[in-house]
Amino acid sequence: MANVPAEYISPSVMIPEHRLAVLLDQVQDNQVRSCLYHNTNVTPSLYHDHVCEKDDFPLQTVLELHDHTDEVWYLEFSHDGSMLATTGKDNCVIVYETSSWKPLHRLEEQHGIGEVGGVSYVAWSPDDRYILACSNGKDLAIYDTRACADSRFTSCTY
Amino acid sequence: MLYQFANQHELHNWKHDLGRPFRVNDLSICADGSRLAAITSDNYILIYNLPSRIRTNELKMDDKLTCINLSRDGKTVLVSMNEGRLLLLDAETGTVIQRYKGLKQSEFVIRSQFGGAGQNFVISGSEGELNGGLLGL
Repeated sequence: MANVPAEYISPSVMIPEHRLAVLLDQVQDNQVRSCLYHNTNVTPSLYHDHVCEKDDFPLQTVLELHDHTDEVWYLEFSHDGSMLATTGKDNCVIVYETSSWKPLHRLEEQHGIGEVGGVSYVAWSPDDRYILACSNGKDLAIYDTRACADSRFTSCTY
Repeated sequence: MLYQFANQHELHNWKHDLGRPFRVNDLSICADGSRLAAITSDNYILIYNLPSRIRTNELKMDDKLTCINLSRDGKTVLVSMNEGRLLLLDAETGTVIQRYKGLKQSEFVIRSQFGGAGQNFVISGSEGELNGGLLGL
């Protein structure tokens, strides 16, 4: 009985259903929106005003990696965060381990003389097993990070 | 071009989609694979429904585009443009939701990304500074 007539009754006569829950949701959204360094997925509790600490926000340079010998063009973390793949003008894909930041693999593209060099893009497969690398020489290479073997896959040329 | 990974078979090619030759400079796919966004060298943003391969949006922008990223839920798209402009657009309607100021770009390709737990903020590189700029969402 309660649901259907409620839509036709003015709120000043009968309070809408779940009104308190709606208001509390709005307060929560408001607190999240006004949190300057908000960096969490956890829904804030309303026992106290929500504020994220500035220290939890990434604002400082922690490390610089100098293993590439030329411009770095693209980089991507693996989906589980345990590895980082970087590529650049030096034709190299370097895979780092993020716990120690040591280079795990160094994958060099093989290019014939006269081909345009540099690896412009790199992507991880959703399970982080494979790395896709695009070189400026119209090649698409797929590397298996577990076997450290690579199977070449050449795109069509246009 | 869309390839099948297991057998290297070409699944789809959008070469003739616009009726004119175009060059894709960057593309992004959302987490569930439902949407694909790409930027072309002639300043267009193209948004496709990936399962059906159909283009849902073609947005002409007024300057060169350097980078594109779809949010994890596929609802918004972050686009970096020349002159240090960074825009957040609605992926369905193409309207500008937010602009981010403060970054410098004149010579190099600057990339930007969503960041943080729940993609709460936007981070971008900037010329002339050691650290990239951090811009709130």
